[in-house]
Amino acid sequence: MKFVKLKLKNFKPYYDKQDTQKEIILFDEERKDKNITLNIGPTGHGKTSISEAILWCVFGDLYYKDWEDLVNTLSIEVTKQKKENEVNTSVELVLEIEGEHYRVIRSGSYDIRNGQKMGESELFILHNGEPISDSIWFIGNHFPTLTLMKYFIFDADDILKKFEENREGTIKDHINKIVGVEKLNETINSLEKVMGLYNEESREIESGIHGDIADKIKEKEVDKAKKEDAITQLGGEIQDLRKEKQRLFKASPSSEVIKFSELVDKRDELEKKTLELNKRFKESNIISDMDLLLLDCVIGDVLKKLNQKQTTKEEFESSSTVIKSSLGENYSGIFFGKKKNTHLIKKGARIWDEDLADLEKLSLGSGEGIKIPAIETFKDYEEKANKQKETFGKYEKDFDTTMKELLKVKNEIKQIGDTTKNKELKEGYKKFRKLEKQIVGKKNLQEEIKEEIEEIEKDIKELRNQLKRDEEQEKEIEQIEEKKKETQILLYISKKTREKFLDDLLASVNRTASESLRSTVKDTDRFHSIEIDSNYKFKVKQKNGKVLEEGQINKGNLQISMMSFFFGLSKYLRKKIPYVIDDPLLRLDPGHDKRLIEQLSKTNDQLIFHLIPGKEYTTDSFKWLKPYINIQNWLYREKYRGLELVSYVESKDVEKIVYFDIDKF
Amino acid sequence: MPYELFEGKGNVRKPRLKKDQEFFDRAKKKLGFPEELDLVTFCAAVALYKEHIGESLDKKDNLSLKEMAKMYSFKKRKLYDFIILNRLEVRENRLEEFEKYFYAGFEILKEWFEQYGPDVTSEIERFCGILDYIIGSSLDD
Repeated sequence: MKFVKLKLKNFKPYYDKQDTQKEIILFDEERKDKNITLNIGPTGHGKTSISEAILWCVFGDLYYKDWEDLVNTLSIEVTKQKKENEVNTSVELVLEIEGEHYRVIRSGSYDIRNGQKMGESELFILHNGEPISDSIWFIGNHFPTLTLMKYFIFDADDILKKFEENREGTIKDHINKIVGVEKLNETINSLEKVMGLYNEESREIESGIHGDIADKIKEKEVDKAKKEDAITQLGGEIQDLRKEKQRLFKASPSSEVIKFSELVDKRDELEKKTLELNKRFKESNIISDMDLLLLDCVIGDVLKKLNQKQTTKEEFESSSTVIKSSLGENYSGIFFGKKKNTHLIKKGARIWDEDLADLEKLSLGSGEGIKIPAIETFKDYEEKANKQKETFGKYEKDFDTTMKELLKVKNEIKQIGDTTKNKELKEGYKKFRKLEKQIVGKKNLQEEIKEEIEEIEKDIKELRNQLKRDEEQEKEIEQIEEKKKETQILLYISKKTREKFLDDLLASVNRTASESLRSTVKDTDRFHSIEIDSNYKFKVKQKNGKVLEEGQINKGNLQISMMSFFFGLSKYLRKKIPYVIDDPLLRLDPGHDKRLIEQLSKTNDQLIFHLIPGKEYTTDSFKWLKPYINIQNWLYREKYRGLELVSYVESKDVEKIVYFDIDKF
Repeated sequence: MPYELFEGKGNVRKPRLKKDQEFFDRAKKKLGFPEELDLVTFCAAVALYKEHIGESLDKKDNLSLKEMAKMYSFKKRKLYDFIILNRLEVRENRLEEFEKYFYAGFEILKEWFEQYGPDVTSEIERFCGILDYIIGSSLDD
């Protein structure tokens, strides 16, 4: 495959002046025997943008997802000036595959209002002017994946820098990418997760299995049988009781016997009630105050008497003396209003007779001086007596009612005749009822046991279901075990495949890299082969098989060895794709660069180098590059109509070195 | 004038005669009184009530009594003393007066027990019977 031409429209620094942008010639088919294309220009002139344009053209938005800085800024400005919103961007790559030409066109629109692409970019591939039917298939068939494409279009300076920073990690990373080990690793991880899930699932199922269910069912069945026996036994007992009942009364007892028995029962019940009532009465603590029931009216009488008692003259005078001495000189007296409020009478104040009529007389106490405490005591007991009367009244009423009823019942019994015969009959009836009660009790017991049996049956059913579920779960575990075995096999195969791929890759890469190394270095005895082991250790070996120590390899040789390894990797991919390499000579020592290029040229692959003038493109390098140069492109940058800097490309005579003014750049 | 219940006398007394003593104990038991004092006050109340409703009382002097309880344990002493003082207007020897009422009531109770006691089987029935006997009708009347 050859990259023949490239046409950029509003892509990065390449502005399309009304579709007049020149094509960048990448391969001059007149000079087919020369395989190196040089794109020369200082940093920032659009060299890397050429690599990016090729990748976007082939892989589209997979490579340039969000179009950040993809659209040429000048084209955006001009569109704005034209009061338009859409900028068209496209890259056209002309390929040559086995003598046939294909035009691969990638295009898309950019909305300047929101700074985003307008939908996904489109891909057209034309062959002899006609679009091919399946452009995606075409890309997939002729190009590796985007990840692996980076082994063909890359920045050599960047690659070497990464090798120098972390050699083993970088080697491991590259090898994994190339072999697809990453995918295999993902598969292995997924399989291991699946194994974990299977283990978890079987553990969970196992935890739900009850090993002792069969025993439990047996226990329940034994219990059920015992209860069934008990029901049968109770049935027998009921039969016996019925027979006994029949012995007492062949037919049912007569209504007279029933009535007599009921009355006797009633009498017993009422007698019991009176006993209970008396018991409550005795426990109620009111017996101690039974005297108050009688004293109630006495207390009331005394209280009345006390309240009517007048104060004696001596009492009044002695009290007045006390009050007067308390009133002092300012007041002449004291009186109590009807609302029990107290008033002091100022000296000289006049009290009208009608006011005096409203006043209460001052009462100081009985002749004994104990009127007030006595009243308090009597009031207190009067209250107690009332309570006592109320409480006892209830007891009395209750007792009276019960006694009257009892008397009535007793009279009725008397009327029927409390004869010996009746008594005997009554005893018989009592037994009869007792037997009836026993029968009912046993029947109830039978019912209770039947309910228990139903519960046991339910439990047995549930246990049997559980047993069934357990069996199903055991089967499920067996199935999981099968799946686990299958997964383990898959895991084994995946791991072995990874190992095998790795071995195969390393053998191939080591061989290619060693060949590359030997044709690049001078001292091939000393730098005889490259070996990457299964632990991604990078070793340089001498012809005698001895491994060169780190300190025995100079920087230049190490770089050559690494580049050899890198090219070895791309060779492994077995794709005949042109290499587009940024700064291929920047880090290499003089001499090594020449030998590397010479070695690469022999492969007949198209090599597109982006070189920095003055550093990689010099009088010296041009001398040894010249025999291989297919085309020499120079990248320039200038202000378009005094606005913004844009890039353009000019092809130069391959036979002549282009002298450049570094200051101009 | 300092006031002292029953003039500060120290004890409450009960019948000394054997026959009386026996009845006293039996009555206490039959009526279910927790304390002997309860029976004493009940008897006094019987007599006081009788007098209150205008029935004549056979109050005896020179009673044969013996010490039963200390005055401080007689919780209703104030009530009975005030009744004797204010209702009966007895100022001197009020405890002796109280004892006369107690004994008069004791005699009435004895009468009831003699007449009705044997037929009655419970405490509540006894009280109902006694009250009926003394008051002559129900308490509600």
